[in-house]
Amino acid sequence: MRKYSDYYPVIKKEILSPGILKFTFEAPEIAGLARPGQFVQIRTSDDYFPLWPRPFSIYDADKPKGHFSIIFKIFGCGTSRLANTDTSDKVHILGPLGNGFDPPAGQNKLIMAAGGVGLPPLYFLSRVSVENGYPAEMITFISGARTKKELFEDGNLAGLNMKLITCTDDGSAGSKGTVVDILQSELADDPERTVYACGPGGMLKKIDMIIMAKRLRGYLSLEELMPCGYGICSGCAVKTRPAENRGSTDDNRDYHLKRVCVDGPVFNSGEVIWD
Amino acid sequence: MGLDIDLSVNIGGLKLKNPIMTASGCFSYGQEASEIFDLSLLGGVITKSLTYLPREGHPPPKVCETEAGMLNAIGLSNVGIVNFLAEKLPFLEKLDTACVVSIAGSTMDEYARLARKLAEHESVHALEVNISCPNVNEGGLEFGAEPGPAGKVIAAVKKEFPRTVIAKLSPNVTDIVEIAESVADSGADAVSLINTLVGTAIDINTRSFKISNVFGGLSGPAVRPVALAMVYKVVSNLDIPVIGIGGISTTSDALEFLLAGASAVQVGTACFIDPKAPLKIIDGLKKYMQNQKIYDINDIIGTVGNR
Ligand SMILES: Cc1cc2nc3c(=O)[nH]c(=O)nc-3n(C[C@H](O)[C@H](O)[C@H](O)COP(=O)(O)O)c2cc1C
Ligand code: FES
Repeated sequence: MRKYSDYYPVIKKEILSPGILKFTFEAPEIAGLARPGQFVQIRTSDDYFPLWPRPFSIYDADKPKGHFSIIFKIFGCGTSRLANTDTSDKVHILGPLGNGFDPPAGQNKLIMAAGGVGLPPLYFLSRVSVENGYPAEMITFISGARTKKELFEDGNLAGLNMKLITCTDDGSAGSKGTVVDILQSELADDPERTVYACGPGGMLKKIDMIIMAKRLRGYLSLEELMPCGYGICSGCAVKTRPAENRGSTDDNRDYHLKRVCVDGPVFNSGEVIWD
Repeated sequence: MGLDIDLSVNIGGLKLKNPIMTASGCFSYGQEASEIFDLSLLGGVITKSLTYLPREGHPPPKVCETEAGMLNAIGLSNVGIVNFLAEKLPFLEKLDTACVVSIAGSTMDEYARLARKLAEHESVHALEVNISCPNVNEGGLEFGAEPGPAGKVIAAVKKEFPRTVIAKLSPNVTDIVEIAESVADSGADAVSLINTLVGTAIDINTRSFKISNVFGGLSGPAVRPVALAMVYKVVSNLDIPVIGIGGISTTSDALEFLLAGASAVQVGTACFIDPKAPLKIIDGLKKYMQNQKIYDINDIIGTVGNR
């Protein structure tokens, strides 16, 4: 798949909640190819602080306008420097990267499980699925954060008319409970669903166990820091089970290493061997 | 009307259209980067080091970021010679650029068998013999750390492979010049240096090492002054061509090595953070030469100190 590596301008900066920003870039080549679940690698400056580019899932892409956007939380030096760029400043972007989600097939109901800034790829998938005729009422979208301050929503998600459940660990907004808790109670009511999840590693691991125990179909999108993002260094390798061992949790068997950046970031449930 | 600029160099029989190559382990086998730019613009491509059988390498985490650098303990994960010949070489041989295959063995015999197999393929223009990988328990550095064994590996490869043989040297030795002299005496057509410097890093919150193998190889801009000094030392003591490697990210970085006497350079870690870094360096060299009114790159090489 063609990828582009160039300097593109930031054209819009929005603050969604304290420390959580939405950036829109004018990058027609990347916007034209981007699919839900894919990501870009961004370097704010040509110096080496930090050395590696930072990966960001694509939140949405507007092909006719040539724009795409990301949502990120200010975390360390890479994200703070990006946050400090001004509109019209150019940053170095490589993308689109990664395998992306397979579009939902068949008549299964879907559950999107988004932890914190794991929301962007799941919004993009939902938006495209609904646009392609997938009935919005068949999608449940769970968006969770630790507290009210970390919940964000720019109106687009509600606009899709899915069943939207927000939750916080401390109950300061939405339902009280983690994304995993809410997912479990949703599945108790109606287990015939396909699960899509993105968020912190700990959350993904728990969700993977639930999907495997219930023998459902599910997809997990991993988020990791990586040196190159396009498959040349092997630095982003994760342990995976060969297809014949899926569903088994005996992890002393053989494992294969897969590259998160090209073989992922989206993996089938049962594929990743968690630490 | 400007005079044409000639960037071509000859590295012990290996002709390069320009002196910019991609470093082993930092470009896979080329296919991924070809989705971003035309690889035929490069002086040459060096593959990930091949072993006879495929290797998964070390378990994750394999890498961590450091100040202006990174540590890696990939552990020579590679597809093995059979898959390479079937799946990777057909792609590489279609490119209009030098194809250099890096080999690594855990025994002298493995190096020789790799060289014998690759000799059958004319499209493999040269071998780079990795006797300097700090990340494997057996082989690798065991051969590269002492002049005697280093020379023996090169002699064994030279016997099997009729074209250019480059010995890739480790900086993790007492005297790199001694090793360079030994491989040159054993028939190496060129040497390339440096491989990564042994390092480690600790996460103070989890009180654990940041990479699974504990020790990794340091690369990136942080190592450049060390690499440049070693290249200059080897150039000053050796008659065969030297290829400079270590932290080269920009045109001026590459020029430093050329001025110090490297006949060509390799770009490694910089390819991770900017896939087009090698192309930017090639364009930058042309501009530098135009400004200096120098039309043959060979008139730059080794000219530090002459003004
Ligand atoms: C992730 C990674 C993998 C590497 N793998 C190899 C390898 O397989 N064989 C080899 O000879 N050198 C390998 N190297 C070393 C590089 O080719 C190069 O010598 C070193 O990184 C210094 O150059 P740089 O600072 O430009 O990266 C590797 C380096 C990195 C960062
Ligand atoms: S980050 Fe380099 S291979 Fe995935």
